[in-house]
Amino acid sequence: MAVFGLVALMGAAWGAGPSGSMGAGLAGLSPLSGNASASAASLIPTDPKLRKVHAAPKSGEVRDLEIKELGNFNYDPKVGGNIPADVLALSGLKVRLRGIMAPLVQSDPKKVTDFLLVPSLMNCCFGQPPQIQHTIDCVTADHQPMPYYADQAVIEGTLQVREKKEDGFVTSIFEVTVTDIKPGPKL
Amino acid sequence: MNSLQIIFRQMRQRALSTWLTLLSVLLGVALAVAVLVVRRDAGRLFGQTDYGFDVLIGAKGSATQLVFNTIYHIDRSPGNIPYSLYTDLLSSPAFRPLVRIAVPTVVGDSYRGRRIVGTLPKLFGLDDQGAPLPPDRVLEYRPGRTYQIAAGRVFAADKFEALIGSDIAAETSLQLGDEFQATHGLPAPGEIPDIHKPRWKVVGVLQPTHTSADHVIFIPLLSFYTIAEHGVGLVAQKALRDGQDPAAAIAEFKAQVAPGAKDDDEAPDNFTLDAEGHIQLQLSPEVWGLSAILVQARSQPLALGLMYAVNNGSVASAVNPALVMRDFFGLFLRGPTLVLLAVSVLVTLVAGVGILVSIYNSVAARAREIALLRALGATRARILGLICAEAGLIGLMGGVLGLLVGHLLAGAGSFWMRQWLGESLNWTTVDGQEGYYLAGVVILATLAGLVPALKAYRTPVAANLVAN
Repeated sequence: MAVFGLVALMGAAWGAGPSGSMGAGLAGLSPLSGNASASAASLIPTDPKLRKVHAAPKSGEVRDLEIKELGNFNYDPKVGGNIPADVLALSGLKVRLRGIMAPLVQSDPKKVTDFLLVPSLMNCCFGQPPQIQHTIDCVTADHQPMPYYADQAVIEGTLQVREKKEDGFVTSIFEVTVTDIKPGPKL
Repeated sequence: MNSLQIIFRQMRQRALSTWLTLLSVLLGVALAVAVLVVRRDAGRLFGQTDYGFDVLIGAKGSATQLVFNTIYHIDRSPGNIPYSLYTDLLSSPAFRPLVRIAVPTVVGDSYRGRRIVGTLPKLFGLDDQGAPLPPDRVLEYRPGRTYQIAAGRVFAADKFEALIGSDIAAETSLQLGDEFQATHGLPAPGEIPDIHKPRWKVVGVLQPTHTSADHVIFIPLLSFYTIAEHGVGLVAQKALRDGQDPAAAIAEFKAQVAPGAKDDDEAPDNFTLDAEGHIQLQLSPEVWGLSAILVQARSQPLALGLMYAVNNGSVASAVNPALVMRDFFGLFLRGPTLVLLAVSVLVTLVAGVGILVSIYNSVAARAREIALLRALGATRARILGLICAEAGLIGLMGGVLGLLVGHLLAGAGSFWMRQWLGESLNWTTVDGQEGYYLAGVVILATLAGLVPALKAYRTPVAANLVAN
């Protein structure tokens, strides 16, 4: 079940985590350490020499993208500043993204206005949470409540690409102002 | 005599049977309506369906228990986590990039059945010195909403002062300026309460939040540790965490805070007060424990990372309250209420059968009257219509009364929930679902009347007039 999957995503038993004090070993495991990705399952090249460069947006275009396709680059939020130019150029583009909705603010499934869109639930506990370049921070247009789909969803909206910072720390890089949410295709 | 008068006369003629049939419809509809209201407003029962913070950190164990205990102030605390985790969240390189605001809380004691929560003034927008915090550094209990003072002020971080929720005055008769003593734990009815020695003075009242916080008494975190039993307990817990002998640690602690005191079971005072009433605690922060930490991450993507980081440590677990409650509503609340709804629909169906049987029997007993009506010129179709309309009318009256009683039932439940959870159901609102259900009941009742109506339709006029 989708909800269980997300619980697992944040779950206590995720991998052989650091023991002892809370902070110990986190540097290697934290999602902040983007380059230490455990994206072995991902077949999308992220190496600067191999990654597919995004085409420049066309007027009136609505582009279908996979989340990992959008974030097809290595990114270390502790360093920052290395979002490829072709990705930055996508800012303002209308996109259609498929993924799993994770509303962290609202529990009422009929009144979702803020949520994350992540590539998968990763029901297996031996993994890592999505990296910051694979996590889309979504807000519905005009904060209009929209439905929550526990299974895959397809969102449509306007993409913003920027290093959003607070106290010098990168907090997100992809934001979408969502205008439509539909249930995703059954796989 | 018009059709309606004929129907009412028939109903009056066999009043007992009519009332009992109507009662069975009423009960079925009332049950169904009450369940519909609860299903509709299940989220409201828990007051909050949205949260101003992303992450709740507490002892490892049940996520639902942690959320219930910390946010809704029900259920037991799953245990304690070290205070050092709170300072780590604010300062360690691993957590600081992820955490915008963190507020510690401790629970365990009560006053007249209402929970006492120890926390810092920062929960109410002030730093430990009483200076206002920047607005973006004040924790919101709901998106865009922070705690506001209705009367008085926020407690000082190091005094025996208290800030009470908006409903506490009515529930416990505590008023601004009153003093009270905390009761250890939440005693069961009839249990002899263990009253702690310290006395807190109420210095402020919060504005209503329409959450369970309205039923809570807030005290300074530091004052919570002054309770002698808490001090000894924390020393024992720290010793156990460190793999040491708790008895030896307690003996050492007693010798330190009360040198020369007789070694009995009495927990010694672990604080002194200065001339202005500031607490000088003789308990090291290394020993302090917390029940939970409310955290607002710097962003939602970082909240995921924070939960992952905490959950992979060995001392605490981190959960997202919205996720936990969505899980709870989806898995544990919706299912049972669906079963209840199915039961109430079955009750309504049984009531429909009751209408059928009741009118069928009355038709058998009224064969001569029906024959007379026919002889006086009533067509077969009119007889059929009269019987069906009678059944439909019973369904409508039972349904409307059931709707009323169902809402009153929901109202009673709402009152109880208000006491328990601090939030009530919107039990006065009638929504479309109930309208459809009522229409369904009337149609069902009318259809139930069709069988006896067909019997009446076929009543042989001459034979019945002659036979009687």
